[in-house]
Amino acid sequence: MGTGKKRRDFTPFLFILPFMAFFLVFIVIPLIHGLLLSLQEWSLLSDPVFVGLDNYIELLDVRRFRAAVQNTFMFAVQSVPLLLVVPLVLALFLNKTFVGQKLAQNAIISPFLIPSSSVLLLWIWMLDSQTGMINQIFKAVGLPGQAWLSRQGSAMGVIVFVTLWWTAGYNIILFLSSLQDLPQDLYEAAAVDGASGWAQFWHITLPLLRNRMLFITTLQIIASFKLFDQVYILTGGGPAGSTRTLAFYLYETGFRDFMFGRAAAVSWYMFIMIAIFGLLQAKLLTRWLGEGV
Amino acid sequence: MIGAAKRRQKIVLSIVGLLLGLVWFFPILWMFFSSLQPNSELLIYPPRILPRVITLENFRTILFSTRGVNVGRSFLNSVFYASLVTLGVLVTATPAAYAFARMEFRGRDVIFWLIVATLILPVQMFIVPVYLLLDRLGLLNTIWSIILPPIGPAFGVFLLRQFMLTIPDELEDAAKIDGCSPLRFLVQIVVPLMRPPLASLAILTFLGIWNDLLWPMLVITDSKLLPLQPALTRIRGEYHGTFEAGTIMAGAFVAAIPVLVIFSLASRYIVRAVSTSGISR
Amino acid sequence: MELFILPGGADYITKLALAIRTGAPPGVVVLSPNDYFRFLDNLTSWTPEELETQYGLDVADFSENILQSVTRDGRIYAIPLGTYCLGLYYNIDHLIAAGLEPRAPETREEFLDYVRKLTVDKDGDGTPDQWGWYSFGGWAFRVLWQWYTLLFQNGGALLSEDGRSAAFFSPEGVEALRFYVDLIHKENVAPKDPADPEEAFRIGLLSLHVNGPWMINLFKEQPDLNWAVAPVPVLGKERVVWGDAHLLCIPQQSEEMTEAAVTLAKWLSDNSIEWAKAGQVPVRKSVVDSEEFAALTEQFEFAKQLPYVRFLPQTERLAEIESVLLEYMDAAYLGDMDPEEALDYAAEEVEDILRRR
Repeated sequence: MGTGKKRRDFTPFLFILPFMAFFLVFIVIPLIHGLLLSLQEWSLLSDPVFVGLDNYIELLDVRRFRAAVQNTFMFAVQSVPLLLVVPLVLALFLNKTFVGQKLAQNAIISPFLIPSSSVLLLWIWMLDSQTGMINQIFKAVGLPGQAWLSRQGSAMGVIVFVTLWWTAGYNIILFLSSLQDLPQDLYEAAAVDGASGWAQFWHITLPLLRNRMLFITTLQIIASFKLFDQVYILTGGGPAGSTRTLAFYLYETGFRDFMFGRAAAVSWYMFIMIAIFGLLQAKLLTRWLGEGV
Repeated sequence: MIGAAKRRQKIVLSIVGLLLGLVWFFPILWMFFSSLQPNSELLIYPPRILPRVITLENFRTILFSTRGVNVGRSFLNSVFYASLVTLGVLVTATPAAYAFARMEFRGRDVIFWLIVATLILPVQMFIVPVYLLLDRLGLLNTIWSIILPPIGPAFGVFLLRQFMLTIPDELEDAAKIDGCSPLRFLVQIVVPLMRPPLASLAILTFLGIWNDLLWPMLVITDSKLLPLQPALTRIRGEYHGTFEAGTIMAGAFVAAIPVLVIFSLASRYIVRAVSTSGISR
Repeated sequence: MELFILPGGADYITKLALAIRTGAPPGVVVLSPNDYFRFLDNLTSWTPEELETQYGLDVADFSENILQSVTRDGRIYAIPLGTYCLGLYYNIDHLIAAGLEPRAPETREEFLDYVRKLTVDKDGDGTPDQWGWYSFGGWAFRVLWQWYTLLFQNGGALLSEDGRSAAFFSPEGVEALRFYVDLIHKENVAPKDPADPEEAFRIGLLSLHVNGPWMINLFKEQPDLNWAVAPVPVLGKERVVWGDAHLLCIPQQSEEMTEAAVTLAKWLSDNSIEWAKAGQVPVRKSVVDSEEFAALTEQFEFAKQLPYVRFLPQTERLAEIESVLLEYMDAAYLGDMDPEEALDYAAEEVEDILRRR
């Protein structure tokens, strides 16, 4: 009896042990180490020096950091609504039955599976200002070609656009799966009451999709703070630093300039901003969507 | 009358849908067209829409040339790494999720929610410290630097636990009466029941590793160990921009085509995997 | 023995730093003068006599300015392998069609005359479809290199003598940037929208193009492109050209390894004609003077500039400084900021970077 009890006490421990080992080594320890690093000044070839909150304070004074915060916010402000609305519209469309629906759905969804470097090399080629396909189309319809990736006005817009094209599929899937779970009898009842398609959408579909939209928005906000691949491959942060995001700045600071303490501080700032942004949008969206119910 | 209007509506839907699909998919077709043309053909002004010469030369260069990166090899590396990580995540997350969902122990819920809370931390917070940790362990520029760290995050445990909560208690009670050990119960009863979420987790994990660029770029120097993503970006340095656009597009296409083929064959599973990631939070 | 070629880029330098720190450095590394400078404390060094007597390396055979850049307090910290600098590529057919002598312009007046005549609106739609000159777009660093060249030609400098402060916000620096910006916005011999000049030169949209020797083989691949290359014109007061180099560096390691590493480095240096074929300019006088090298017509044009090559001041903060400069140059080239204002801001930020630590 005694031994049996003992064994039962140990089993859960053994079950979580393998995972916890990895969790400890690759999440907990780095988290603590990262916090310590952010309080140090350290380049690889010298010894670390404890500097307290200096890294955090200094960063507030660094223009490129502030610009990176601004650029990241700009990207989030542009991309989050687009990646919410466009996939929703496409999902509503693809939720209908018609010949070729499957084909259209797969064509629109599939880009999100392609590795980023593949997608981005493709768009560099398409957007080339002299021999690129996009400018060819522009010229064919009588519009002037553009230096898409080299103009301050358009570079971030292009990154938003490419991101939308590339990742819309993921959100479409999320919306489609929610749409398919919607209770059909509500629509039938509404149709009997003579509610128009638009009214049905506004009063039934949208409120029911509320949680899904919240989820996607949160996901999208986290994703926009991670924006790196597009910047690294398409613009390298330029022109004139207009596409340098926080993630890219962190990469430059840590892995080009060897300022690991400062890089760690940047990552803690990122966390704070995601938390604030996330809470804010949850509040706003809940209030806005709450009215529809 | 109504039937005819309905049918007309369906036809319009079909046309709009297929056009939309074509426009959306066009860049990928363009990548393929470009990869089939000699580089010199692509660099003429004004550019031609329809190819004049078709060649597989670009694919030969990209797969077999030794110029800096070997895309064929990197492709296999990526498959290997992503498979190992997936295996690692499944093997560690399944028992842990089971323990958190079905077993009683002190502090279970507190520990679980603390672990889950780490999911909202941006990956950037881990890059520098994990990099330095791997350096200290002497694992930089080895396959372990790619395979081990992604097993740490709690996503898999969290996702599987949600599903394991739905296992009926009766099953467990019956197993206990039969004297079935927890491990046997897990392996023989729970895992088969959990097949769909396990498959979803496997797909999501695999895709995550397959698509990662920054991490392998930082930790791997040796071009023989390089996975596909950083190998492709390195192509840009090895092959000269638009001068060798066809070759670069061949590389991009080689990286894109397997996922597209798999998607067209198994879109159901991938769609389910993505939907599952939505349920979990 | 492992030869570790660093293709450039931040992550490679980080990896090298880690490798040195963990005590497992590669035998020989190829570095540029600025990157090598960061690792000075960790590199093997020799007196010229040691190199000559122990390894049979003739130090006098190296081009002086490059040897000087790797010498500190009488000790040599690297064996230079090759160098590169800018050259002026020109489209011979365009020159002839414009009624110009088929040779490169050599002075500022000639250069301006050339670019004006070479900018042609062939189809008469109001936008030129052949440009005399442009160099903004594509590979970002070229913009810096051409500015460094003119800055040096004007007698200016990037940093102060002691390397502690920015010296480029000077009449020389501003004039250099304004010259290039004016080509776009006043002279209209370059498009206002950035576009890749390498590509444009290759497909015949562009007549004059400044770039490094690595373009030689790429331009040769293009059929129907009738081109040649020459030293960059003197746009300022004196003949100077920006350049950079490949240095063979040997991290400190066991005696046995060092021995093998130096032997390998010597072998590479002795055979640097092979690097020349890929576009590099050798730094060994015996190689530069060889018939084999003279047969490499284009490379030879670059080699003519060897005595005038100037390297950037050595600072471990160069990557950061250049990224600041690039940002403000972008703004100036795009016409969003006056050149003077741009350099003023850039200098302020560079001062900040240099003051740190």
